[in-house]
Amino acid sequence: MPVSKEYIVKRIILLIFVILGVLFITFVITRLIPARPELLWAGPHATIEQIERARKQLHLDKPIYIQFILYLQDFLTGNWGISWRTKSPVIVDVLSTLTATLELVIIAFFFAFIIGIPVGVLAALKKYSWIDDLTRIITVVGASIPVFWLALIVQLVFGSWLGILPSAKRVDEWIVIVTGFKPVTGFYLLDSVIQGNLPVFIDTVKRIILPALVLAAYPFCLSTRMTRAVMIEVLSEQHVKSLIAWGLSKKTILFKYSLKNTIVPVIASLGLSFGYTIIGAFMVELVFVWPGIGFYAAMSLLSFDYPAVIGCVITVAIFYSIINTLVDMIHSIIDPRVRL
Amino acid sequence: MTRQKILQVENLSIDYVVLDGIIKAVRNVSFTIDEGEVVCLVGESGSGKTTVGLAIAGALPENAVIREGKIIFRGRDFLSNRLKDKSTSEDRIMIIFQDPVATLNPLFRVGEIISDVIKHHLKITNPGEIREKALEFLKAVELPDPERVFNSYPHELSGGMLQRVVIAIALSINPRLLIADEPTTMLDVTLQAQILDLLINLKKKLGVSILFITHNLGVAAEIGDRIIVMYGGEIFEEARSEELLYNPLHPYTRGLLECIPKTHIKYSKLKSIPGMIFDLMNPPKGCTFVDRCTEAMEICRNVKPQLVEFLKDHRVACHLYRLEER
Repeated sequence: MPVSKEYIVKRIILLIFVILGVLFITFVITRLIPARPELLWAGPHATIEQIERARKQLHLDKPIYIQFILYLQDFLTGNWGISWRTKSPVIVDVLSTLTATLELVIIAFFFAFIIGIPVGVLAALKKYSWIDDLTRIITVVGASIPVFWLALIVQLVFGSWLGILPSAKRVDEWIVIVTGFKPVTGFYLLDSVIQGNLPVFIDTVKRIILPALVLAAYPFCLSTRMTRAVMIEVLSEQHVKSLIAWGLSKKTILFKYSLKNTIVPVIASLGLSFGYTIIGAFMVELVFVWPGIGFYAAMSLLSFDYPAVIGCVITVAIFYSIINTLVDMIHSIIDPRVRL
Repeated sequence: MTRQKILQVENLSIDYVVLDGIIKAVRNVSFTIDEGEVVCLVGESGSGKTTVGLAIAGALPENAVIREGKIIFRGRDFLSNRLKDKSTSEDRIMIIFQDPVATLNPLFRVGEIISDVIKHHLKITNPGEIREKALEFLKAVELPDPERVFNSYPHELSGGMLQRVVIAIALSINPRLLIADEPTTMLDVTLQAQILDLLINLKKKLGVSILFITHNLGVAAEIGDRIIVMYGGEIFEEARSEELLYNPLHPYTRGLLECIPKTHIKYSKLKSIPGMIFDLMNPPKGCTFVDRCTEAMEICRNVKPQLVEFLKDHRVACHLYRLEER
């Protein structure tokens, strides 16, 4: 057992406190606004009694800590309010859009790191060669380009000019209707594979390529740069030199030993860049009309739909902390020194 | 007593290519090591002693260039054969380093590293056999509870234990020559003696020759059969240990010996050799020690002294000792 159960339990307890902190901050922010929601609730021309009743209904007559507990209770029971824009419960909206975003982000991250790490290793091994120069140019440019601009350019080139890939939506509604596709998990790629629905699968793959590519640009550049820098550093360390001096094969030294040392900080950066990628997803989803939580949040923001916006903020914050907890756990599996 | 020569170093010169030029780290160094002998390379930092050790171990950094010279190990020219070397483990020269904590990869169990070295060199594939061999050597370096050490990560062991592990790794493939690059410098004084004793014991038991690199003449006297004094990339003096300690010829060696603190004289002042080592990019024309030497003569500035066998088995490079004056 590489990681103790104790460590995992400790991290999960810590995670709960982080989420409580997130809820506390969102609560404070909503209460900081010097407004009297009961007036809005009671409507215009309300009598004092009606306003008083509204205060009671909204629990505004109770002490602030009771209000926080009631807020937590509402959060845990899924009562996140009704979206003013879509008129449906916020939690239903958030959960249905979240899977669309997760599908996109997971695919983008997967390819960003699966390709980024080997490219970084290659650049480190061929330091100062044309391969290194080329990857440096690509990654510096890629990390500097704003996501929304890249999204538009990619749409223009692949969607309009070449016309080889569709540049909006997750799946074509006609194909869904014709094949009778019913999403179960909300991850369309997974659902279509489970149901053996080939037309939907092909269409989903086609449509996810461009937004995933755009979203992957930043984490790809980051992981490539990180891997190159860390690998060069690791290769100059004494423990690598000693393995060389003891005559182990290059393959063993590189892929068994040095790569493991390199992966640790790269994985740590994965957790941090996840936050950036969520922000990127807001833009990408807007440009690609991708019905994810970013698109939903952006629409809600534009129509001042506060319950929906708060729902999105809490969800993204919780996901961010979960991802970073997972990253810490992976980190502790790889590096024995952080197993506390 | 004629023992077989296990290593011959002939006219070895090594440069480091750096940004502002070429550092002539080792110049024209020749010496031999006999089978089962412990030879100490002594010198201050910048003397090129570690570079010589790394060159013999085949572990020079990328920017080092062997400009000329030969390293003949067990009768084979090591420099020209190294790349296509598919030889047995006995033809492998192993090395141990100064900092045992930095030497081992922190993310791997000690057992994994030693197993990989054994697997690679001894061509054993059976995991049980590898493990047994590893444990045998962890026991040989007098580690308590070798099983536990085998399953430990480096950060779970102390510096002294780690240095023992490193010695076990280096000796596990039964090399005929071990380069020990200041293996006791980073350790506590009490541990230094233990590690030295361990090396001497293992040398006797396994019959391995050792090239021991140190800046500490006291340590060299304790472990070495023969001592080679290096300065600025050149050999200044070479003799058997007792001979060198009781009859040092070169002014530099004498200076070094005077720098050893004398504990039997109360309130004796700590001595040092005044001055700094010269610029290795532009070595002086004559003797490289001339600016710091108390007995420098006119000739020292212009003519480089050659290493000559002034007394029997006692070589020295200094104009004070010319063969014709013997």
